Amino acid sequence: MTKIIPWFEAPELTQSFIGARLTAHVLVGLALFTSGCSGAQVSLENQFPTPLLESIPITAGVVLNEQLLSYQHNEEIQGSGKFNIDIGSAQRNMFSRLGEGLFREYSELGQLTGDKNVDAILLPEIKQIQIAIPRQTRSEYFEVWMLYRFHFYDNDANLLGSWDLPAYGKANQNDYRGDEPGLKAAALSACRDAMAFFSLNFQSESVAARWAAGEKGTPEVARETSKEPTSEKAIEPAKNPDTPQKQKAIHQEQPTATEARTE
Amino acid sequence: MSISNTQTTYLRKEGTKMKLVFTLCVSSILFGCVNSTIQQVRERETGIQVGDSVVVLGRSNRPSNEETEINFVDCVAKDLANGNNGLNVVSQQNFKDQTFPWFEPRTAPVKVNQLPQLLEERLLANRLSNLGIKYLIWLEGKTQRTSSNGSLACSLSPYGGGCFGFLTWENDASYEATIWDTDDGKTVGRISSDADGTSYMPAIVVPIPIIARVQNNACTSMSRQLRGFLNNDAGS
Repeated sequence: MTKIIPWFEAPELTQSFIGARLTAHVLVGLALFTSGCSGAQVSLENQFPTPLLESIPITAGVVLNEQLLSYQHNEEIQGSGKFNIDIGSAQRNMFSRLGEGLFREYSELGQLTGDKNVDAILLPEIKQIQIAIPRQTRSEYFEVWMLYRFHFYDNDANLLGSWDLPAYGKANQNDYRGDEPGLKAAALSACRDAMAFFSLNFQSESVAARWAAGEKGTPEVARETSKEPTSEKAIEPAKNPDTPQKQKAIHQEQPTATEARTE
Repeated sequence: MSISNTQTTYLRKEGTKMKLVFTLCVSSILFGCVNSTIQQVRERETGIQVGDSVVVLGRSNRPSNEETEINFVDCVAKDLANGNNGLNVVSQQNFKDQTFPWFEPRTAPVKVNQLPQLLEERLLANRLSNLGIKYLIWLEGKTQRTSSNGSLACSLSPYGGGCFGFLTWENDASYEATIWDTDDGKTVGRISSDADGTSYMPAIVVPIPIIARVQNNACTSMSRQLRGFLNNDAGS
């Protein structure tokens, strides 16, 4: 039978108990202290607003493929740990809101195939993401740079052209407690920036305007472009993520369009 | 000996008073001194009618590197809405969501002369009208630590722990509010609120922070002045 001895009646147990408690406290303290340097895991399952714009009179199909919906950015920052941003989790809500606000009718497509139920097909792709935290840049801001590439297809899945769109978001570290909420706010801000810029500049972007007007692509162009989908202004991933100058390059990049001429 | 209900109520009231006096004493000791200055420029007459509302927005335009703290924007909005003659204030996030994508960092108007053109957007104008937005209040500025001195050391052993030392730091808050009238698309005035104060933290075993609430002071002064300005009170 086990005998339970109260700790105040057993000095030999008390010593070890205090020791164990102290060790536990020190370990918890160390864990809390080091948690500030262990990176962050960010998920963006947020609701986005619907753009307040006159809708374009077309039925658009937007391809949200697995590659986009499961896109994750992983980066290890020296001295600050591993950072993971599950940016893919925000894409469905983002594009459904964009589709609802921007087009008369919108439907989500799982993959790129010809579809006569829609007038034209849009395929968004995330080309690159870069992040910076205040400890790296010695600023007060968490920053996120994103580079989207939008491919415009007709309803037979023939490519008309592509449009590169950089987006940027930042969040002041004084407004958030810790890396995770700060980075999340910056990433959400970048997503909103992409949505805002896309919706306000859509009509003035030549390839998008031709796409919305119902122009047809050609299969030859589609094959050629899909073999080598990168434009000359596409940005190579930064080898050293600690270099802010390289990251700033995305922010300063203007949206560019890679157009495929139809005959 | 029994205590009557009247005596119990009296004792409770006295106890509450004592607690209040004690809290005030502790607060006055633990809060450092803050100097604040408020300045106002009025360009046009203002006034709030029934159904009118305002929105307080922090400046975050690109490519500017500065952003006004969210908690300062929220503080001013909350103070404007509170009290007997509180205004109808639409929260910054709600306003940005309702008017998306027109007031995002990359798309928001920077100068007041951009406002009339923006209000030509039918859907946006209707939305602002539905929200009853009469004034847009743009806040710029931030609170910064301007200097810090002293040192403080803490130690922990199995027999106890404690801190020893003295820290002092000075914060400076500088904000400016620019008020736009959505009816005529013009600036109606500007209010600036500056505050600075020194905080102390002496530590003999236990650190005792004596904090100068600089940002809070700038917020209170700014919102009080804004309320008077918008209501067109005498003296504002």
